[in-house]
Amino acid sequence: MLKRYRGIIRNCFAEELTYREHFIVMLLISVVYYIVLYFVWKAIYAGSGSSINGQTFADTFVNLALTSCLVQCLSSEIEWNIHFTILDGNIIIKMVRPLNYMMYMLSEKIGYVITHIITNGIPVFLVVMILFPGYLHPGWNIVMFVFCMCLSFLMMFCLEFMAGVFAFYTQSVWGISTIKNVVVGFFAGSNVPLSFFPEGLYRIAQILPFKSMYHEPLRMLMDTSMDAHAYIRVIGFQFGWCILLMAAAWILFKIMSKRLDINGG
Amino acid sequence: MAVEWGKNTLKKIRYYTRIYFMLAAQYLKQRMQFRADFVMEIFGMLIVNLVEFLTFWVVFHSITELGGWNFYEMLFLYGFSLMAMSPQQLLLDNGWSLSHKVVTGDFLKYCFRPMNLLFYFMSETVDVKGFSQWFLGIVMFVYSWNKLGIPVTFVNILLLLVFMSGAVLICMGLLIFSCAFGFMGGATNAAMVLASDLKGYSRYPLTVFHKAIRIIFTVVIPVGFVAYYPASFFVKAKENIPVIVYFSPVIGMIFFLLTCKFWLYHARKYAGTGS
Repeated sequence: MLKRYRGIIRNCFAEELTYREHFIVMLLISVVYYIVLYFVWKAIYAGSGSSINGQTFADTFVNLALTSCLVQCLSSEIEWNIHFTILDGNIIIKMVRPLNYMMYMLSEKIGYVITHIITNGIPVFLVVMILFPGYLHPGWNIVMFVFCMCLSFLMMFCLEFMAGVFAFYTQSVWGISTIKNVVVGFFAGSNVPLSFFPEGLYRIAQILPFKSMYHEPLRMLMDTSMDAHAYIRVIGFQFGWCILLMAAAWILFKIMSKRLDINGG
Repeated sequence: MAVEWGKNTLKKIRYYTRIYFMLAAQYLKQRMQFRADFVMEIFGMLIVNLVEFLTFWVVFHSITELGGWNFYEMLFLYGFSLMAMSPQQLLLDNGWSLSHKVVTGDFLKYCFRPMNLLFYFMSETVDVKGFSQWFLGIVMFVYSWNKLGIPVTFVNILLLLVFMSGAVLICMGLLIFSCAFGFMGGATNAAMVLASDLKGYSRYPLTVFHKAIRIIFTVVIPVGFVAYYPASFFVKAKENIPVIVYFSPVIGMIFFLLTCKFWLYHARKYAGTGS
């Protein structure tokens, strides 16, 4: 049973690495992004002394760079895969195969995300560790970090799957996919650190799941003062949202598959 | 001779305008078929720009200036860059589907029409969400113009139009240039993502960056002309702008035409997929 899914994972993994040009340009995009991030925040700090909201420039930069790296790693936009198969009608082939459609999509995402971790995640974390020593404290907390990131991965999958399944109804995915991306990015704290948020916005960020998906696992690696109590609270919160999102994705899929029109094929 | 040439050009323009409106009407009809999607796209564009504005607002909650620019000056810059990017979004959005069409072989159908290949390919879609971007840009621009107390004179309006046309042409040129990489195989929009990221960075003042990057953004990839130089003319009282900025429509035109040639050169080499 699981062997079939392993094949899908391997295919998607290979697919991401097939085109060298794509890979090189994607690398260039991240490098440019980090350079711009560096200079913009350098300029922000240049006008306002050494610390803003209790954070130095290095604190902010490390935080933003690692958060956006994690967001990048976990996002694979499988809603676009669903979108294209709806447009050309090939979705029916995927749905009638003796596989669970949701598991099928999950396997595709695993393949993509593994590629992102190898090509983007690990290099960025290593570079940050070398350039800004003393921020990451790898130890036994890596186990908890990886566990939390697995939960975040599942949550991100549910969001993308829901966005894709929503296209059964709208036939197109650009709008919902883009909204999802910017909202996740903003409330995860990859544009501005969460400590910059004004009171009201911060409260919203605390209720939404995105802070616990990216910010909290990262804090496990950076903040040595977190005790067992804090760990349990973070994981409990994330677990609750994870189950909620999985249920929502499954229900939405059941409702939407009744509305699905197959275009030729 | 000259009269003949003029007549022909006029005829050509009339022909292309008519075709453009025919294709646009066709596309809008096709889109109205899925009304939910239509609404979602416009809504999505609004949310994207609002969240980006929120980012801005949150940062300025803690600081007073960025690279010597205060909140309203930054808003002016931001509004200008949104307005400059809108025509490209509106007219050239089909560029994003090029690499997919090249790989599947669908692109071949465009090669058999008796007109400019680039024109026909791009005019197939009119991206309506460009309007919502434009609208937001205008709101930000007018609001900050007002707050900064820039005088509304004939010269200012004229120069605004001059700078804007240059910026629009550069944005369009960048999109066409990056889009042409879709012909080189690889099924990738990565070059277009890079170009649109770079255009997005035009909303930061160039003074923020290292000198080397400033030179690159002026000479190699003219991102500075999209918003920074025009905006600093208005809000920074002409300081630090090279004379060449006044010729930005000319630069824009040359850049735009060169990128069109580049695109068409690669399009002519396209041989289909054999299916």
